[in-house]
Amino acid sequence: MPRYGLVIDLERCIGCHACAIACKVENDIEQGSWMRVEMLDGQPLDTARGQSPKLTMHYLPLACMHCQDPPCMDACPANAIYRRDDGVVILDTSKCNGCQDCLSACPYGAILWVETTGVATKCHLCAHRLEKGLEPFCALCCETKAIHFGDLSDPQSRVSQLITRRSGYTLKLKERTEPAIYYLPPLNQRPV
Amino acid sequence: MSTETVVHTACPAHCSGNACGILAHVRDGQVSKLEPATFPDNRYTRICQKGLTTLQILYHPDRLRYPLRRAGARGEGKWQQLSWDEALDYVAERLKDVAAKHGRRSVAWVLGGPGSGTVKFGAYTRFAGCFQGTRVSTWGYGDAAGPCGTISTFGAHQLGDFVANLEEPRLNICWGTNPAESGPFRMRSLLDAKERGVKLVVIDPIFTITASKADEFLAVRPGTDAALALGMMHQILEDGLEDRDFMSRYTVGPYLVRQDNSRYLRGRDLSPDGDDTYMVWDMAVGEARVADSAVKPALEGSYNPGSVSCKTAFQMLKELIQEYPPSRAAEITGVSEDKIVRMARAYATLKPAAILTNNGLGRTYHGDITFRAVGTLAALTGNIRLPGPAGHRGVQYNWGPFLKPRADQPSYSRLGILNMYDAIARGEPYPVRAAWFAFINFINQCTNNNRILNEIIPELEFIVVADMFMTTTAQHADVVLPVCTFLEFTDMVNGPHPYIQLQQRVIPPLYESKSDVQILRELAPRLGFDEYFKTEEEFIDLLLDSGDPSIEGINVQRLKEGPATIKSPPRPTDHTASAQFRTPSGRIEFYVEKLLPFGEALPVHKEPLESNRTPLARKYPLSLVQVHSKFHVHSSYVKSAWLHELDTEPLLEINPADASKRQIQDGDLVEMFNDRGQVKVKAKLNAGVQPGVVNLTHGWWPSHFREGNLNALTNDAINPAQEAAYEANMCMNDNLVEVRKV
Repeated sequence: MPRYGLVIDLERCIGCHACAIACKVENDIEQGSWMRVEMLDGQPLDTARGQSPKLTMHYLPLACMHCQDPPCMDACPANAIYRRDDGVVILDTSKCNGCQDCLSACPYGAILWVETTGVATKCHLCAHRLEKGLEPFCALCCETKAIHFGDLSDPQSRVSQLITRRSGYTLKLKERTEPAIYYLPPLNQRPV
Repeated sequence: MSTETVVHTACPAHCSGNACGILAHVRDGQVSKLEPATFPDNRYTRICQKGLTTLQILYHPDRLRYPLRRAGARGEGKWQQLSWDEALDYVAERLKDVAAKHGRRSVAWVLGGPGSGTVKFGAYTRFAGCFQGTRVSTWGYGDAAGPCGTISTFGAHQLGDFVANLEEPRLNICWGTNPAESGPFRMRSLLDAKERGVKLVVIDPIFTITASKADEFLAVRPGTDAALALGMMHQILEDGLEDRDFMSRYTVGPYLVRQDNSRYLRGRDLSPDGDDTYMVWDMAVGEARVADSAVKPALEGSYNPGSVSCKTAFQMLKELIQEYPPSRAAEITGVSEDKIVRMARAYATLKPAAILTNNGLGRTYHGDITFRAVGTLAALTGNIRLPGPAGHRGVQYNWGPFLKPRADQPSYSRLGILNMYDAIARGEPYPVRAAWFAFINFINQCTNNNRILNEIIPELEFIVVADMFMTTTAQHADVVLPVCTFLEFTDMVNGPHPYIQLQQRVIPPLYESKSDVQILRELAPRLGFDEYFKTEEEFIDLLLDSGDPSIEGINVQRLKEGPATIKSPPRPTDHTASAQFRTPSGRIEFYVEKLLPFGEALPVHKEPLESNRTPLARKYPLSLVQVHSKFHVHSSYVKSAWLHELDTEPLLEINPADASKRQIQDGDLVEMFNDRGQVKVKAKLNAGVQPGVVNLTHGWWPSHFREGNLNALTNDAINPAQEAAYEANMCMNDNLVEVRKV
């Protein structure tokens, strides 16, 4: 069985938010997005850290981590959240009772509350596109090709190889959620 | 059941004229989704955060729906709705009136960049030509400094053709350009190169997102880039890393310059039978010879042919460079000496090394010299892509019928946009009394807003604005014509290189809006030149009918099948024999005779007009720059609700040290001001903005500011040296300001 996931290359991410907007386009999200862009080092958006000329500024796109062991699933009293065999974690909005327990359970802040409908929603890796053999829309629309989609269970897949070669890592190891979203750290500067 | 159709179109937004292909999905007559079009080479399958939100513009509730005629005072906001017939009859009558009173060229068409539509642009120049009115060139709307400097040095418009488009560069330098934000498609190739081990250097006053990807970042004081280039050249000469062979063969380096009048020594200066030919010192015979016939031309030194004291142009350049050791360049630019030295060595040794520039680099008073200094640095090291005998030829479209539509009469008069200020306000060089603004938000985006509002707009007897929205400029119009978005009409766009795409109409124009071409086509019969106006598709075919082999067989029918590839002419394998620069000498000219009256024959460093080292800086110590936002394309897309969600209001970026001196904290409301005007915004503390500099991203509309407007603070000075070279440029990045908490 495949385990689908994303590998997001922070070296290539330019913080343009095209992924977040692509997500809105593809999934008809009026307010907010299932994908959001923050700063890797937690500073205010679009500001540098350090002092000139020694400065850094790295972006961190965040979405549902499609955890192996999703805390949101355990927290949902309505059984609206389930994990498919291919690793995609789905929130069935028709079953959502609006309790918002999943929002507080998710360590990644990945669940979007929709005020107008009173239900929780989240990324499903564009499951409707995966069925057609297409990659998630955020990956297609990423201008610098920072977002790679693929099968993490296949050691030969491009995503697996990138994780190995570039020391890919997941967020919040302590939570033991085993995310399917990996990050490739920015490269070190090489003086000329 | 609803059916979905998919139309291949292209986004003509003004991103360095290199359009993305778009697939538009249409369901029940509504455009439901845009996605990137697929190209055989998937590097071209792309869309950006702005293009993705185009439906927010298409279906924006504020879209202009009907022609409007002013019903109150200018800018009062009172309008009368007109039918198209009423509107066009009225416009035709008023244009004729103004022409009868003040002459035909007193009617001006002011157009945005051609990147925002090809035949749309052509239709307007054709209209201005038929009318024999004025076409206002908008190169000077921030983009003229590059052409000024590059025409002088290389004989062509685009510096990038010579110094950026090198094959397999071993070093990439982004000099004053920020592709990660202003043209993200260009960032992808830089990141690909980084993955291959090619280092990236960024030179910028601001630590931009592009800078955040750099291996080295040089934080340069705004407008001092020429001094940086001179300092690098100093180190290159010091280390003997210059490419003397290149300088001898392709530049004016060996040409002798008279020391009495600073002009090139010509054949006629030495002999009554001599002509205009340039002379060199032939070391083989120890005398001056016509350049082409010399056996061993001297590259440097002082000589006295016919007792005229002369130096080679290279010698003169060298003497200028000697004044700029890296220590002095460091003192001027704020970049450390160590970095200047290392950068110079890297650029001269990691060949070919590419320098990427864009127009922001030229938005200071001496921006033309900046481009010349960068070009000279490239020539000194031979990091130049040589042109073939015909230059670096792009596609040759059939522009003739659009620029001079009628053989039997002269076409339009051309006026640079900064010259238009004086033409309207002072009648110089001739009076302009009516203006038609199309795809340009003139009042918002052009420098010295308050002068525009107080001295220019009131002098215009008639103003037409064709736009999608009630922009600041439209608010001051007498007639506003509603135009449609790019999804509602057909045009042709260049790009992504090497493709040409049809910007294909996806749905008919909404409301009563029309395309610019359609508006002109309906207005033309009212002015007696209907035979010159066609449909968009006919105009595209006319434009493509140039006979240029690179676009042979491409027409609208072909483009409807999908993007067509421009066939590049075979590049000569050996350029060395045929390289030709379209300068007076046919060589790269780092020494420019026609700039002698300005003391700028060489690319000398001159402090910016509003340098923070001038007395004015005691009153206004901060240098204002206007970085282009990743959320706008100039002032368009500002109304996209989805982008607005991410970028809620304009913020004045200031270094924490400068903020602290003024007791300003992040989020405080501040006023930025100088003698010309003021603007009130919230402050954003950012260490990426170097001390002494403030940044406010351009493109916001006055309604977004608490008070005032950004371009109320910017100057409209004209640099006569730029006029001599090409066209005077606006300097949005050369303005001193002060900021205080309010």
